[in-house]
Amino acid sequence: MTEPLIDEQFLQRLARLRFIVKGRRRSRITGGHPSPRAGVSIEFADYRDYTPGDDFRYVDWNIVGRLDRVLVKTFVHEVDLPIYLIVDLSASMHVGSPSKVRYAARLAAALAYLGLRNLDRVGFYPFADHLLPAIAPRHGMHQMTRILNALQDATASGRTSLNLVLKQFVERTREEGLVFLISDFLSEAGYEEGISRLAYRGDEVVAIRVIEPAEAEPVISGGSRLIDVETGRQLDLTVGEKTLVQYSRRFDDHVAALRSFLTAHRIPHILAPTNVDIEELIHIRMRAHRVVQ
Amino acid sequence: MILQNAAALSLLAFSAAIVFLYFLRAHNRRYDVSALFLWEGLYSDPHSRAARIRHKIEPLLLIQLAILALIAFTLAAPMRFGLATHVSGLVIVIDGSASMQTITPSGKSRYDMAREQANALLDQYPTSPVTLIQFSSHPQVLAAMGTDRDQARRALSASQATLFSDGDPDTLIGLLDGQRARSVQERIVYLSDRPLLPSVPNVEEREIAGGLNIAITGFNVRQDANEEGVTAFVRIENDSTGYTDARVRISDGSQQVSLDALIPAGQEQTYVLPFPGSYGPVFTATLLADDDFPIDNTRYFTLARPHDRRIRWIGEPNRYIEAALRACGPMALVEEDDREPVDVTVVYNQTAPADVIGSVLLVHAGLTGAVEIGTDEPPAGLSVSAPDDTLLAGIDPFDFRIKLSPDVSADEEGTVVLALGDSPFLYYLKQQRRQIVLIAPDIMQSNLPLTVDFPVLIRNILAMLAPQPSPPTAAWATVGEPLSLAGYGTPTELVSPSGEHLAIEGRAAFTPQLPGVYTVTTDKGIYRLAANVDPTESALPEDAVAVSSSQSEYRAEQITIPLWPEISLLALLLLIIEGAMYQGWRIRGRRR
Repeated sequence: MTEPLIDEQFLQRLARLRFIVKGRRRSRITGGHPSPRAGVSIEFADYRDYTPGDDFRYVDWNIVGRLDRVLVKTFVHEVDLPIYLIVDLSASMHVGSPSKVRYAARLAAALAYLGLRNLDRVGFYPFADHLLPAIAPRHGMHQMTRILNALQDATASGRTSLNLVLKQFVERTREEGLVFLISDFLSEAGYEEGISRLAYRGDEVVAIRVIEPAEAEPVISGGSRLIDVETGRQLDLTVGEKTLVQYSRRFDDHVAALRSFLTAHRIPHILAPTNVDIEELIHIRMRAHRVVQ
Repeated sequence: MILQNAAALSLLAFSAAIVFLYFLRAHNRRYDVSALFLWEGLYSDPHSRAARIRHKIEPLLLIQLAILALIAFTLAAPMRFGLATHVSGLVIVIDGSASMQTITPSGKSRYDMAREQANALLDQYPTSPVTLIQFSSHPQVLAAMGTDRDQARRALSASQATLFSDGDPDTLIGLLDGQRARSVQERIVYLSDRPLLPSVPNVEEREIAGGLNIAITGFNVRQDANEEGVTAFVRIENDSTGYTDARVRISDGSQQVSLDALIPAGQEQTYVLPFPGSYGPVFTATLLADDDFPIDNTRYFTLARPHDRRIRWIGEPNRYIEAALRACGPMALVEEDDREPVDVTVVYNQTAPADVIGSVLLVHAGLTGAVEIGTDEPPAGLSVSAPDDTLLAGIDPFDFRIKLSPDVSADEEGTVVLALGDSPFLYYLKQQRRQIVLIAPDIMQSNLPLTVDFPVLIRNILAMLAPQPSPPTAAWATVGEPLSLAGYGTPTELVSPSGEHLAIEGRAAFTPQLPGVYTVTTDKGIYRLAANVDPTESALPEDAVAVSSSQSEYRAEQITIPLWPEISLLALLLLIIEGAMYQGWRIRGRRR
């Protein structure tokens, strides 16, 4: 029997958190996130001159008495924001113990719970070399069950093709939202185009890079045959200390390139090594990036 | 340990080849990586291989070397020394006497523990023919030699300790010989709580100990001389580890007396309890103490009251003879015309008819068809023809002075004990259904009535003609020991302490199987007989069962046991581990 992704105690510790959404979002559905439009909420926004038809209840009579001007109070319009969980299920995510895909699934489950608990709509979009069958954003704990079932059964296979996948995602979802992109970002074809699309549409993107510690510091030595788990390509290499130093440098460059790209797009970049506890990741690292509070 | 084929160890030389091949291994190790593009174009470091070989000895290599060593060792045929697990015959003798019912501190009885040891022996010798004997005063073969082993186990588990006494070592020898045991090739194990005394050669004794006992080891009741009650004698033994405050209660069924006794550990003490107003005849002594062998906490005793001898008198009365008869015990005189059966017919100074039924004492009298007496004449000198005869027990016949004695014509089949010249003085004849004793002289023409030996002579004669039951409770009737009913008459009914009617008709003895009071009904009356478990079962052996296998002459055969199966198994196990490790590494390498 497969080990459950999350347990009750873990969820209870997540209950007090909520996502931070920077900027105001457009949506036709009233919710918990601020909108550029004024509306009805308890958060005061501004005053404006009374125009016929305004609700008398919003006339500020103290201002009328003091300035002899009839002004009405306007409030922040809070809208509902969909949360998209885009999770990489390519073959490279199968590496590690626990595997990266398992770690990503647990993280996605925690984020889904967090969103649904704050009355947001949460959708689940797995991908490999293309976008896999998704779960459209919905409210309620039934949605949690659907997402958990999908995550529980998630297996990694296929190649990573981030640009294509994110293009498909933007085409499929017309509503901007809070996008958690959970992947190892080890896509030979790159990721820049796809992420740019998201940013252009106005999605608030959080990039979470799942890495296996052995990827950063591989325990490989001597005559080795390296096999790419996604493509099956092979490379014979005699690995020595110099080789490993060179590899580490290249890996760090890859991470740095991603970070600089994301920073340029004001996208938080969160490293998630699989040996770091999910709770620590959420409570410390994601808080540090002001993704949750 | 010895190696039968030490040359096989030369295979260890192949270990050098393994190491050599290992270092020369050409193929690369497989690693699965997430992104090969990160590795492409990296600097290949050929010097690292040698470095790795130098500094890292792989567990797989060590396992392979171990496997090679084990295979070489297996082929060298190692043997270890051990004791044989097979004997030509295994004889297990379990003490089934009452003391084996004692509960040990483990909560099991000694018999249960003996049974466990017996089962362990059966396990130890899985292929040897087995004989199981339950040994007591009534030994029983539970499983004869050659019995199916499962059947023997079933018989063993079904057996229970008895209430009988310890068996006699000679009986055990007979049993073992009967089972064709006692050869040195066979192992005979005796499981008991006390040693065989004397020990039996070739029998290995094993101690089954445990349990503390406080027991009544003696119980007797005697009628007071003034006939106003009885006095009870109780002996209590404390085989526990400390002082015991024991309470003894003696009951006759309607009244009881009790006694509190403080008995030191290992001591035996006797108490006398007056029991006025009690006449029994059944007495029960109960010890109120908490111990591990409760059977001996209750003892039974019965006072046997002799029945009246019924005596028919024919002829003139004679007060000397009658007084001597009464001195032998209660008697009832039956009229000559009374046709009731009697124990003895006494004929004095007369010739009795031939149809007299039963035993006859003739005093200066004849019996038609058997004894004829003539006229009295001065006798010749007294001679003793049968000095060892029971009729003369305690008698000095030369004290007798005979003035006149008749000439006697008697059946020559009879025995002349005393003679006066050629004529018998004291004579007896044993016929099929009766006995006839003759005192030939007229006692009134002799000094017999005046001698102290005359009542003794009459007692001896009555003991021959009409024996009274000896008091059976003078000593305890022991459970498992045959109890004679001689003198009680012809038994018609026997009721056990549990109320069960036992077959008794026509039997002269019975063996009590339970402690308690048996009721025997005979044509002479109803008798109550007490039976108890043998008191020797209560006492712990003095030497604390210092038996050991040193008494055994069993010679355990030393044999060599091959070790190759275990070593091969170990090699196979290592082979599996090596395979699993190799596969594990491959899988892990792919994940990387």
